[in-house]
Amino acid sequence: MTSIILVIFIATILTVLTRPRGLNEGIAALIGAGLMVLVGAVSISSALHVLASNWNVFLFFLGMLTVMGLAEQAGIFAWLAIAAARLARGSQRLLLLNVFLLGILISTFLTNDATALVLTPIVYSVVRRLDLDPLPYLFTCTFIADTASLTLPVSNPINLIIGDHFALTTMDFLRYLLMPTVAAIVVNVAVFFLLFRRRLRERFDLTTLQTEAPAAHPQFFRYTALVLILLAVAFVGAGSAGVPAGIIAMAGAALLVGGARGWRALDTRRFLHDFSWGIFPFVAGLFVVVRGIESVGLTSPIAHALHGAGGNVLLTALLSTGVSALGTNLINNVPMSLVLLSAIGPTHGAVGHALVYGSILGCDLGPNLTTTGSLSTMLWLLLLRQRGVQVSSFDYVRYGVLVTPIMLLVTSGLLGVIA
Amino acid sequence: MMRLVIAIDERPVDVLLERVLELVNVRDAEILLVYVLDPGGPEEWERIAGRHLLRPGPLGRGKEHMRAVDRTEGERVLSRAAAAAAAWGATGVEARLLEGDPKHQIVALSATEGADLLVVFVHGREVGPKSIHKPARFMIDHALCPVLIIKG
Repeated sequence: MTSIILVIFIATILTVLTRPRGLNEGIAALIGAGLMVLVGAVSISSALHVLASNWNVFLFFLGMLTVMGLAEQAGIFAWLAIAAARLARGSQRLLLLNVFLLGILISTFLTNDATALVLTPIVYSVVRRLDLDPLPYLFTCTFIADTASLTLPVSNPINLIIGDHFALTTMDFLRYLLMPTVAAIVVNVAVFFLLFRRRLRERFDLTTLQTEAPAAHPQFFRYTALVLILLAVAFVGAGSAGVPAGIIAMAGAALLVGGARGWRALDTRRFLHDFSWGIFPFVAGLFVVVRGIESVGLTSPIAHALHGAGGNVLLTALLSTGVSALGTNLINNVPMSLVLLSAIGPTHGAVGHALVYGSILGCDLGPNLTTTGSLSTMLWLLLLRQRGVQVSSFDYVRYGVLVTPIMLLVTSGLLGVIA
Repeated sequence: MMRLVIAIDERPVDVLLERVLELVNVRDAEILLVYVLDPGGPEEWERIAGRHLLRPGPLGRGKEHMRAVDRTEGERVLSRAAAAAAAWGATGVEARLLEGDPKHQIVALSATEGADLLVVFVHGREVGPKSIHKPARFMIDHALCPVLIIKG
């Protein structure tokens, strides 16, 4: 029985990672969940219970997807990217710093996904129009997205998944992760400025940006900006008071949808078509799949690894960060975070804090280790190169391997002291 | 009649082409300007983006947007280069936009076009082993014709 459950888990993860014949991740996860129920690893009531108890996570996803999509349609991200370019006054170093600051702002309050998925293509477009080498800016966006996603529960979906399970508040996150976040950002900025220093020497001309078209709906643009500011304040203020992030996100989404419809700025059909509905079955399916391996004690080896520091807080922080970072690169950060929830178990005291927040550090920062997000993709790229297949000139692995271990070490060390 | 292949990038193309004119007799030459779109950036972004959960739109749209921007900028740079080279008095000036790994594409093109000379621009102030970047070194090693490196 244990072997069958392990096979189902591995098959689900592999299918999610490799997506054979373009199979949707959500469907793959649902099939895995269905099999877990079928073989009796998870009862239907248990599956429903685990889904219902994570209502805040699903509501947050729904709200933030709406907020991100409408903010993009309103032109907020484009405006911010162009403002960053204009404020740089022709200096590439200032431009890179501005992109870092933009990424920090967006990741902290609108999740790392907004920075990586929405901001990055826009920044890429702006720097190409400025005749600049896009590589430093591309990697800055994708790295700072995760580096700056430690601060709040809403900065990274993984934070919310783990935070909800252990009933962590916004103040808890700030108390234990603000300093490591600042340290990670400093490391990221310093290393990238060092690595890209030669590419940043030349100045740029802003002429090509001067003909930038204004927002299609100026009033909706201003309204959206106001709602986003209120949302940011609410995430910190109301979040500190214990208001669930999902409720806050849905309130923000409702305000934006109302505004978009009022100003006729919403292409409803396209919005619904583009909406990533697949995330819900994906996360729901994984919740059940991991419950299945938990039920037969398959998460015990990871639990032993995490608790292997013998009560030493600093070592526990280093261990939990390292284990979660490694696992994130092997099987993706979402299933890894769910496995960690089971492996960590009941927590108390400084060691408990080191376990929980160390796991968040590893899951949030770890994916940048390989830059590609999973070892399987990296290995595939190396294999292609060995066979002489022309892989593009962009250097995927180098930057992640250079900066991520330093960030993991510094942040986990700080956590060990703070916890 | 000399067949000259000039690899163009985003740097101030007018200034760089003036250097070619100073060094090479282009009268009665056939000029082929080539700009290579490197899909690495958009593809790398798509790979990174694939592990992120909250996707407000299809990943393909972001990637295609980046590729479209690359193509627009490449065409813009190439047309500026062609306009500058048109005044040289060469026999003919052709501009070609390719896609792929730049060093491989340029070497292959210079071979298939029977180039007599390949011109490559190198930027930077380094000396020693890193004075010529890897793509330029690859082209020096693998091109079938002589390679002129112009440091800008």
